[in-house]
Amino acid sequence: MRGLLAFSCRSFPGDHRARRSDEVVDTALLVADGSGLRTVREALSLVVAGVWQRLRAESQRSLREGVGLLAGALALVNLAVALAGILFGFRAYVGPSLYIWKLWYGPGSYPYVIDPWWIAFAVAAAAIVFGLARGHRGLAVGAAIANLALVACDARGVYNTDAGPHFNVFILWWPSSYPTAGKWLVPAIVLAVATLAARPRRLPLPRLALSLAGAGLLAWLALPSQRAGGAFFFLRWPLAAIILLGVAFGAIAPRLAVLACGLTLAALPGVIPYYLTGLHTHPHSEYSTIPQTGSLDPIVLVVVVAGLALGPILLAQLARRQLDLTSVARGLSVVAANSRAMPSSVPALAALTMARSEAEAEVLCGMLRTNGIACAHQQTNVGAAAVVGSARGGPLEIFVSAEDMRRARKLLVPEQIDG
Amino acid sequence: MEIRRSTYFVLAALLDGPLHGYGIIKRAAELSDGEVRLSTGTLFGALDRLVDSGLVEAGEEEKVDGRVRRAYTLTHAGHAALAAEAKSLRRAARVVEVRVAKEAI
Repeated sequence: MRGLLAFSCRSFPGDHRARRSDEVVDTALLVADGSGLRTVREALSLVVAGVWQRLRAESQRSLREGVGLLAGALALVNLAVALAGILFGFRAYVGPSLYIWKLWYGPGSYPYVIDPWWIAFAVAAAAIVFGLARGHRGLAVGAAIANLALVACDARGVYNTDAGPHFNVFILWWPSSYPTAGKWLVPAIVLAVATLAARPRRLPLPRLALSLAGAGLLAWLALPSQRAGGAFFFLRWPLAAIILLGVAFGAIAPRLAVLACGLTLAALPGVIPYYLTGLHTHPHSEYSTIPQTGSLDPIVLVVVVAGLALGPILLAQLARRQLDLTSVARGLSVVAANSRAMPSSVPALAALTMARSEAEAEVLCGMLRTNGIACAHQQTNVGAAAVVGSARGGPLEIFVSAEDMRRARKLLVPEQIDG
Repeated sequence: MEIRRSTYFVLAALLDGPLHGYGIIKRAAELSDGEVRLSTGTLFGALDRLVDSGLVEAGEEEKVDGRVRRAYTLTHAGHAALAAEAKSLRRAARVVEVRVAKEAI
């Protein structure tokens, strides 16, 4: 029984488990009173409470944490692309020796695997991941800028080899495939901006290992994309899942909203053309089953435009909620009310009582002022989380001058008792 | 501030003094004549919210008879919030009672 209840507690966030797990399990055991059925009921109730606790913790995260998540996700994808490029270089280089390679492709050429550009790109990509995962912001930002510079150089053709831009390693077989450096430039820009805005924290090693495994999986998925004619082939499903999550839970989990919007923006040049166009076969018979870009699909276009319009609206709503502009305005009005209601000669303020809401505080203060007692109220910092489904609210503290305290209590107590 | 029925009885259970988790469940059931039967998940979900919002204070963890527990105490803010909620419920009940009484007459 204890095992089942302890297992149910795993639905709670880790820090909560560390603090409360024993107490929760022992209480549940007392409630279950030895009954197997009641134990199952208690276990289920713990799972539900744990999920709610996680959602609640998620809703309190800032948009900036979402930017950190976006930077992390894009850094992993970037690393996956770098790894895939090198892996593909290995696959492309099938000659028994470099000498034969040079004989075949010419004296100035070399396999991709030893191309210093790919190595620099992979090092920059790995440095971003390392910097973000270990909390080295300077390293992450520097590497992200270097990464952007490398991709930009490639996109602008500054460093061309005989085979063309390096991202065209995926187009060894025909020139319409993913990813070209131009398409990767926007993700590199979004990655640099997100890394600059993020506040990286040191990740625990198991989570870092899991992230690197994810990058490895993406790299493995990237390899078949060389055979798909349309853009970010390997990222279609992960991206679709993340964007779907962002739309579904973005309102309660700001991090997911930022992640979904950021990834959509980054993927626009690569993914959107793929979705916007219908499936067409490649003219070359060997690749006749491979989807190629074609005419615009109007339904997909409408969905994409709607998504792009809704994303900023959702983010603006979340930003406004988190900045809580109304509470700032309320704070200013309290200061103004203080300056009006409280003469400068008042030596000290004392807390008289608590009010349940601003309306109630106004009523109480109005009554006190009618009786010639200066009064002000201020929201305590303890009430916000008590409001179910709301980010604001909670008790307000009512202040009067110390000399008026006795008179104010006499006026207030009958009101509170009688209602 | 919206206080749910279960949360209301959790606060009400603490009116007479500090209680630990299981004590709150039993007291809430007594006060509500058995109508409110809190599960452990509901109780600790409510307690987490109440502690975060400063309406309830959690004591130090202690071990009694091999069981870990913690005492919870109603704060001044919790007392005020509960009183305000009771007042609001009384007003709401009065609205209905007056009309029902008029209809009966």
